[in-house]
Amino acid sequence: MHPLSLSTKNLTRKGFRSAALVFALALVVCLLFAGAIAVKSVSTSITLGAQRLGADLMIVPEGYEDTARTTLIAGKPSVFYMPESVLDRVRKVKGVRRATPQLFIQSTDFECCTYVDVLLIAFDQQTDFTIGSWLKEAIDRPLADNETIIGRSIPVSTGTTMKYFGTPLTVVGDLATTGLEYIDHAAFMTMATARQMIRNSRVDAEQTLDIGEDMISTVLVQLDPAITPERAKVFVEYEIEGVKALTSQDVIGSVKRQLQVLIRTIGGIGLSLWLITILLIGIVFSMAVNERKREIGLLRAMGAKRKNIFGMITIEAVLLSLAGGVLGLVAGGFLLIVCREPMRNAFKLPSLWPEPMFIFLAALFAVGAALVSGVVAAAWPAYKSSRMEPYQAIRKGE
Amino acid sequence: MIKITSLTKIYRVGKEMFKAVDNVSLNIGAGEIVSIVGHSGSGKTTLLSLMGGLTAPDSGSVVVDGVNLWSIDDDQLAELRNSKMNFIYQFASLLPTLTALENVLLPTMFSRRKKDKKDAARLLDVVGLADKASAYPAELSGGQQRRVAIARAFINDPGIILADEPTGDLDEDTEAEIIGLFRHMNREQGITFVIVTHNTALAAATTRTYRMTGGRIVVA
Ligand SMILES: Nc1ncnc2c1ncn2[C@@H]1O[C@H](COP(=O)(O)OP(=O)(O)OP(=O)(O)O)[C@@H](O)[C@H]1O
Ligand SMILES: [Mg+2]
Repeated sequence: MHPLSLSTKNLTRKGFRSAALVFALALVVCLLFAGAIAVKSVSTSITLGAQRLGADLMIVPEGYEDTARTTLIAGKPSVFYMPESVLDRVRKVKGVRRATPQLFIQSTDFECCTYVDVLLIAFDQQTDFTIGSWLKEAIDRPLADNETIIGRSIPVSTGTTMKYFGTPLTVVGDLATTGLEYIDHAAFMTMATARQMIRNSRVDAEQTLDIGEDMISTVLVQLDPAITPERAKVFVEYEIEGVKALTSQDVIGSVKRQLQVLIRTIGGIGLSLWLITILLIGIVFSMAVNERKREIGLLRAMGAKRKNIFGMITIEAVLLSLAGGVLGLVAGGFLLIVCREPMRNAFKLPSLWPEPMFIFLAALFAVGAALVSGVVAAAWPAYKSSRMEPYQAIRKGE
Repeated sequence: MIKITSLTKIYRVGKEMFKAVDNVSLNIGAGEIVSIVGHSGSGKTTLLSLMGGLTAPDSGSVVVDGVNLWSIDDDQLAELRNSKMNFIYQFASLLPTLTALENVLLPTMFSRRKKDKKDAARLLDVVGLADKASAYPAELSGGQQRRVAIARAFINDPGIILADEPTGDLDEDTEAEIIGLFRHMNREQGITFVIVTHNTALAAATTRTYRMTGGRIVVA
């Protein structure tokens, strides 16, 4: 007979009590694990969004600030337009070092397939400083007219020619998955191609694009390091009527606030649950040890050493914690999968899973936390019962 | 074998001091069967616990096989309890989560001595419980539980058995059997017995009888 079997038999004897402790621990582990993954996922999305912006300011027509923000972070494609003249006026604003226009065209017809929802993004290769660098990973030369680089979610292979609004676009490369819907569903092209497309749509397509010749969607701005985005934003909005300037703080800010609330809520609940669980385990183990005083005394009288008794009780805690930990991980994983959609809608975020290493570490940490709480909570009762004088233990157990 | 010198155990209940064992000295030789009789509350169980190193005396010494129980550390004392002596208690002393057989094997869990299920089953057979090996304590009568505890006391081949009213809840026939078993073990294996009893038949079967009154020993 192995000493371990004493522990397992004690746990199964009080099946309900053991199960209650396992569930309490599972709850903590589930919360810690799912919380860590959720927070990490959200913050990854935010940083990605800010990175995608790649500029100090994003200038959009007034009234479209929220739409633009949603596009950048949630990646929900959306389009808006303003006159191209904004570009020149932006360039004259104090502190602006570089400015480059982009034009978004929402497609709903894709000639050959049923595929919809491609966001066509035109950019100006001469002045671009934002997306060019990662387009370069797809092809190592400037994009020619009627060529396109596509996001990963568009199921078309390189070399294919697609036709939008009567304009052929030959796919010359594709991007890695970004998790941002508007990039993954985007087709990038030159500004000249976009202009041609608008013209073609009037003669040669089922649907006409109602976009003026001299319209753009946004101007992306790089500032002199001497000026803060906040100040530049004020200059831009003061000098050019009808536009708003988004700083990356603007873009990230609202989500960050939500994120902080999330962290604080999960953290708060998790911490209090954790403490309560430690307390609970401590109380239950003290009670259990009290009930088993005679047994412990008898074992000591038979030759069990102090460390045998301490070990027996600690192992019970370890077994409970491990069971709780594993159950909690399973529940947490399940929760994450089930809550993915609601989360995504609540935070308007793309659903990015953190990398496997992070998930692994989070799981390890959560189970470790359960283990530590179990062992810490049981340590004192285990120690005390191991120090009892056998005769007193046997008598008191009567 | 067991040498007790000026042993005193005091209990403090509130401000009252109570001498449960009062300046007891006695010598028990190897292979003896000694009985201790006395009224309830006279200190018999306390004395037995002192002999077995289950509780520390306030003064005096217990020397077992030349080893002073309170001069060695706790682990050594535990090893000594495991290998040299075993207890049979006045009350039910089986672990409720274990079967009769597992209960008998329990002391081997803490010892280096190799004993297996066969040895435990043989001992259960000796106390007349061969068919109850896989029964749990709750499924056994008080007397049967007592007999399992007796079987358990022998599993580690102890040199000394300290038995506290071992035949307390046994019928006369079983009692006679147990007394026979003790005498047999004493003769065949040279086990020393210290038996607390109210039972005159059992006391008569021993080599020596001590009487306790108010914590003191008087030879009967
Ligand atoms: N832990 C304790 N605290 C206080 N008093 C105790 C303690 N243990 C024993 N006593 C007291 O010491 C005295 C002797 O107790 P003990 O159990 O040794 O008697 P006993 O001779 O075995 O009696 P019985 O025949 O009823 O078993 C009793 O009066 C008892 O109340
Ligand atoms: Mg007694």
